[in-house]
Amino acid sequence: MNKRAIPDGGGIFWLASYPKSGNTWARCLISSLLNGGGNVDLQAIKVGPNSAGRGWIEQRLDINIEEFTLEDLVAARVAAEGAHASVCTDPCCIKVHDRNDGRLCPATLTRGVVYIVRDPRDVAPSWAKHMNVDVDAAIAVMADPNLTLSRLFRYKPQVPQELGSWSGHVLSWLDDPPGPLLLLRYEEMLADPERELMRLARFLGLDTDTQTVSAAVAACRFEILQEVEAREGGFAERPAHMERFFRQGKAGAWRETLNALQASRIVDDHGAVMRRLGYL
Amino acid sequence: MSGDYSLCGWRVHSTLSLPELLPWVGPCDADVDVAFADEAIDADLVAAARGRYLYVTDDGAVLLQLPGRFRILTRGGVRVSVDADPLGAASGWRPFVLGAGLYHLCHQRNLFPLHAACLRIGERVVAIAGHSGMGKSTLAAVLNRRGHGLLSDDTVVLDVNSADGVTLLPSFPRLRLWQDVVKALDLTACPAIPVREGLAKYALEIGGGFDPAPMRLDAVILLEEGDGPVLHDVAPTAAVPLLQAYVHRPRLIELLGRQAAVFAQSAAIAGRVRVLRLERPLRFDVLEAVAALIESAFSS
Repeated sequence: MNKRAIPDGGGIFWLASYPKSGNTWARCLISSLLNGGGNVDLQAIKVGPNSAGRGWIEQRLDINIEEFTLEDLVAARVAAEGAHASVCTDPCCIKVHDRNDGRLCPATLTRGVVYIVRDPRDVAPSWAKHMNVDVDAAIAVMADPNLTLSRLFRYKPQVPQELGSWSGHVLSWLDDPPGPLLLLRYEEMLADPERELMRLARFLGLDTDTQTVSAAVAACRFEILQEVEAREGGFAERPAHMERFFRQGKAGAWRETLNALQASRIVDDHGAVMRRLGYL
Repeated sequence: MSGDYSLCGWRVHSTLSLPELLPWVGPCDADVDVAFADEAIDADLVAAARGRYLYVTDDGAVLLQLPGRFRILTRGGVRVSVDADPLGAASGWRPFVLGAGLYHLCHQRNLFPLHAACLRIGERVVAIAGHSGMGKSTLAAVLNRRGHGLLSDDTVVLDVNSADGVTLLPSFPRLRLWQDVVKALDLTACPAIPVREGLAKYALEIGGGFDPAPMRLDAVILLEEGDGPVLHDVAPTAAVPLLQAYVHRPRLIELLGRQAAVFAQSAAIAGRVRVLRLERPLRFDVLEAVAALIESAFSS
């Protein structure tokens, strides 16, 4: 794989998604691709650091951010992103779970946006496990237009992230992206991973071949990631209460996990955006 | 606004109000050790920093800035300049002057700034080290309530150059606690000043048992999250890298070219001071048990 210098400014590809929509999988795929289709080190996925990672921000800026206000943190995250872009090799990817508000991922730092979306009916059970709440609570959270993660960030490895509702999140990125946009659907990544990874590779400007793409897909199959997670003693980004991070990785599993009321509540909350994305 | 204060035994003259510090009560004719000043910072230096939050000059001056808010320049271990426009609470400089400003001074004065709180437990002087969010100040508040004098919070200034051991230079009797911790520990009646505007964190005045005189450090406890509470002694050789990990702050040390000095100081502390690891769950309901465990380890 060729490693090229980042063009001056505007060098970042944002790997954006609502949580539990395949962002980590996409980062694994890119990592493997950059490693010639080889295995992924789950203890340290180097591609796409989380722009809300407290340790990452502090490392990038060489400071302690504990006594920063919310406003300071936005400026600090943008400064950390700029500092990252100036040292990272191409393609420079940064993961982001915040909705796009025009501040955190400014056009001046942007080379492109990869937005990964997943049927919210499959997001809900996975998000519930991740947050350690029941599915109804997760459904309520996904409809909350003011949802902020890690509000009390002093106890968390991540600084506050404003997600808003699932629909608002999707629209903020699709309707007003800070640069060229590639939309990836989780379901299509599962149905035809080679095709979708090739689309992703081309968007990122990676000169790759079908063999490497197939190898990367094989290295990042869910069973493989689960096995690596079990064998290597876990995944650094797994919440403490979860037995494993890579749980199911299926599309349409909501038909077995959600009751009719729960499924219809999600459609009530997000029907317009689901229709737009072809989920209804 | 200007006044003379005591900090780590130094006479501090400040044109800024620093209500966290105790007033200077030493001799009137004593030399000023450190000056804190509200003053503009050289434009060439600011330009050279190119917006970086932390910038170190070739001669070891340290500039910390939050662009658009304030700049704090620490030079030669003797002068801290604060440049904020306006110099009101809104610019947010205050916690950084006695936080980062203090540990910048320490490195410039060849002192060891440990990320810790420090108390006198019975006859022993014990530092409790931990990274941000690991509960140093909370545990210190509980120990203080049980009658143990607070000597420093967040930055424990150690002089490892003295012949008779490792010397603590007590800083000032304030504990910085978040509002929910203040409430959970029922400390709302304690006199407190907000750390900065827009932040639910307070510097509580914890006067009981503070002693500004330099004193020998007896132990360092490294806070870890886990089961327990349980204390494990750490062998001196194993303690060296652990202590290094708790010095303010690794990248600053690199930029100042102080890696060898800090390593030597860590080794000196590990050789002269008992180092322990404290494993405990990060929960309010175990705090009293943790405090009791520490007391039992240092009862004479």
